Amino acid sequence: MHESPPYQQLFEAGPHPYLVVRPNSDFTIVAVNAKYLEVTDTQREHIVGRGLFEVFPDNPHQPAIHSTDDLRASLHRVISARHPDVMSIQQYDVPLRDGSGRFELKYWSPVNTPVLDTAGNVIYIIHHVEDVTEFILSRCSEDQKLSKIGTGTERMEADIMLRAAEVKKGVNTLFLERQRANEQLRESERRFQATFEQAAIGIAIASPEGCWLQVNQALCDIVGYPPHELMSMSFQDITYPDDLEADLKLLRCLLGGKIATYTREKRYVCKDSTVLWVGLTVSLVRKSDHSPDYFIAFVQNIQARKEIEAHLNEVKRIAHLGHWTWNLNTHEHKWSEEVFQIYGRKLGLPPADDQEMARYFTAASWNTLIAAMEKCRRDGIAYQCDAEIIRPDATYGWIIARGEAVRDADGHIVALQGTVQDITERKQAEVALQHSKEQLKVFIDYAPASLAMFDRDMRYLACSQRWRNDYALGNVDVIGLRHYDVFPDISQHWKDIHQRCLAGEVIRNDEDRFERSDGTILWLRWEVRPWLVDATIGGIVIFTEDITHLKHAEETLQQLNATLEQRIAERTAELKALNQSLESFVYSVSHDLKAPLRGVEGYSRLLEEDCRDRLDAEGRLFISNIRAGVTRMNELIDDLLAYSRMERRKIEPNVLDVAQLIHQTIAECSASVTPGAVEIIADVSSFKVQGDREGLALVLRNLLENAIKFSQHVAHPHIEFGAYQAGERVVIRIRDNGIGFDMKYAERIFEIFERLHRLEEYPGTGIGLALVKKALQRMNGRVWAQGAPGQGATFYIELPLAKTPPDDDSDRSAS
Amino acid sequence: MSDHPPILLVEDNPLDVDLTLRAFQRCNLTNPILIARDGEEALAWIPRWEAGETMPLLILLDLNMPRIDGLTVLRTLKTHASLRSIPIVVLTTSQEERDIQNAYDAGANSYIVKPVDFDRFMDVARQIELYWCVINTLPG
Repeated sequence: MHESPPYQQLFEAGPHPYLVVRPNSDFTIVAVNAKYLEVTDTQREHIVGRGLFEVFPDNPHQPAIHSTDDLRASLHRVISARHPDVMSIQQYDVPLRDGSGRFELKYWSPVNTPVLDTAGNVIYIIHHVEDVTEFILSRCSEDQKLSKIGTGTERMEADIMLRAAEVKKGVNTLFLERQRANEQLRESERRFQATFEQAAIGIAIASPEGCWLQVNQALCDIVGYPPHELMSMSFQDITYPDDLEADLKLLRCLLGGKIATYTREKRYVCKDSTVLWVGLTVSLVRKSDHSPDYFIAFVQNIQARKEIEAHLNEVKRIAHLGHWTWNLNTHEHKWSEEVFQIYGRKLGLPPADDQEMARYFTAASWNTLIAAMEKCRRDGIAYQCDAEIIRPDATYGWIIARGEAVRDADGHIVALQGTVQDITERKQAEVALQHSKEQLKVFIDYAPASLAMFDRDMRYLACSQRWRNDYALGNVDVIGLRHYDVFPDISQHWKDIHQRCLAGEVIRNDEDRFERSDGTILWLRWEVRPWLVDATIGGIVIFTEDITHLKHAEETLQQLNATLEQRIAERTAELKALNQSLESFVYSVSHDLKAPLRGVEGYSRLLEEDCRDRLDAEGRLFISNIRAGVTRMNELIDDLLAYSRMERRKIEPNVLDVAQLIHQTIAECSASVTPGAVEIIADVSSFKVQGDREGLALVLRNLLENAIKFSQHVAHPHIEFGAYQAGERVVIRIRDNGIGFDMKYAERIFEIFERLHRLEEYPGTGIGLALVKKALQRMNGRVWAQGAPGQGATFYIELPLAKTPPDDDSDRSAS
Repeated sequence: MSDHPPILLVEDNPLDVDLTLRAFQRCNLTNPILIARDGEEALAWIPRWEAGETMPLLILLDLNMPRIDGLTVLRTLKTHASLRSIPIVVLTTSQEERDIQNAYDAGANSYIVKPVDFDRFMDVARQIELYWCVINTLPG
């Protein structure tokens, strides 16, 4: 094994100056040997760790000489080529270390050699120099040369030989380098061309006149023209007409040197005539004499972005969302169109300034907002608040104002930006909802009934004041509490009802009896029903009404009714008794009045017969008058009894044949009339009426007797029966040609004891027509009369038409 | 006289009693006429008949009388085991349907309304005598 030589000592002891630098941007000095320190007159501690060009800068007194540039280029060549680079002789003055700041003139022959790692990377560069100052100086001045030759001729010769070899090598290197540079240039051009062609964005090169010099495929794709077609056009041809003027203006600015480049959004008209938004950046490339060479334009398709922007604007419009910025330096405000609309400010006007803004808000809202903005300005705290706005047309609205700070690169707040969103409708809806909630609350609070609303867990959502009073809740706030916690004693019965209603039933009871713990009775009317939210049961509403007082009133009424019934019964009994006494009165009339009458009649008769010879003519006349009086009285009593009986007798409604009854009556009466004395005609259809057989017979008999009586004295007494149907009634007519009557007595003739004639003219008791009227009243009929003195009279009686029996035997047999 | 069974006239009105007696006299009635001036007197005869006294051929009964009325007398006699076959003619002023019905319901054999007219009253008396005392036959 060989012992490794001490490289450090070897390096230190080297006869030539060596400097080792890193291949970084500063070319930091990492090592230096004693020879180098000696020739450069530097101290190790002054140069190690520092940059090469910091330690050895250009001589500021000789600005024309850029020796550091040459050295730097050499070092770079070493790094890229990874082999030694021999530099040409360099003048590289060295600062004098005497503190004077002056430089000592030095010529150097430097060689830079790379130190490679195993991977072939340059990790150090060894900078080796030979001080050739004396040699150069000797060549530059004969005098100096001659004076110096004698001191080191041998060394100089050797050195010249060495340098000659180096120079030859250097020439070769130079050639190679040029060759490599050309290759690099061609490569660069090739790369540029590839980049140009394959770039994702459109690139065009155009002459200062606007003619395309070169366009890439991306641009062709954007506008839809094949390259050769596009090349035959100018940029003006594909620019949307409205956007051309602005383009030309900007190009003039470029040509005039006012601007170096511009970027804008414009529209192209594509081959298929669609209009397309593009982002355009144009630069002017000038020739070395500064005359315009060509324009280079970068074109990006921003149609999608534009559409998204348009969509976004639409969304902002729909959302009533406006955007603003406020530059704090220039105090310039920028508003989107929507902001104008929200504030109701005319679009033509500039955005409102700081002072003007206050007018768009109510005082309270402005104070809130301005405080938030100040905080944002000062501390960069973003804000969001509702604010009420007043538009110039005096309408009010609500917005959400949002804002944030915009900072520059140094973190200073330079602007505020934010949005305003019109939430008037929502706010109004909120206010309306709040209103309706409050109204509902007031309604429930003051509802004149016990009402309570519960959620599914039987927690109180609301209850009326009446509920609180009825259930003695006092001022306890039960909202949110469970009903069963408020009333721990609530019965299972009620819990079951609640559960059933929570399951969807509506249960009610109009009268429910409860016994309170103190024994008093409570009557409730109640209803429990579910309430729905979006068709699901949200809970129940319980309504109860204390109807105890109603119940009491009802009971009182029932008692009253019972009393009333009793009173009616009593009254009826009284009436019955009265009727009975009337009956007994009539009975008395019939019996007790008739008995003495019979006595008067009997004894006057006996007197007349047994004592006839003891009475003179006058005495017999007296007896005759007595007996006439008795007869009349007897008739009166009989008629009165008949009337009384008609009033009291039980009416049996039968179906009666009018024609048959009339004929029967005529037959009965004719017996007591002189044959041929009165003409009685009855041409009557067989109407069926409803009535009492005996009652109607009595009526007809009375009327016929009346007709006969009052027509007996006329020349040709004529009585005619007729009948006709009038709706549901049948009218029977009895017309005579007798003495008639004055119509002013048409009503009176039916009153009891009313008579129009003296007894000797037309006998009668004055009860007959009253009896007729009474009988018809009892049979649900009526009677009336028409007549005139000397022109006869017509009596009408009206009775209900008999209802035809639903089943007729004849009909059945016919089928 | 004792050959002929009596007729009992039950009538509270003395005038009617007198007129009835006269009327029967005029039509030559041979049967003796007993008088009861009200229902009580009429019912007082019952024990006597039960005791064997001759029962009347006919009872003429007024309805409206003080104390015990004719209807009660009628019912009592017509429900009496041995006396119910005695013909009872109700002779009264009342024409009330109710009285007529009640009388027949209680077993009256006839109901005659007393006419006010004396001639007709005489006629009624004659016919009663003829029918009940001559024509009619009673059980043994």
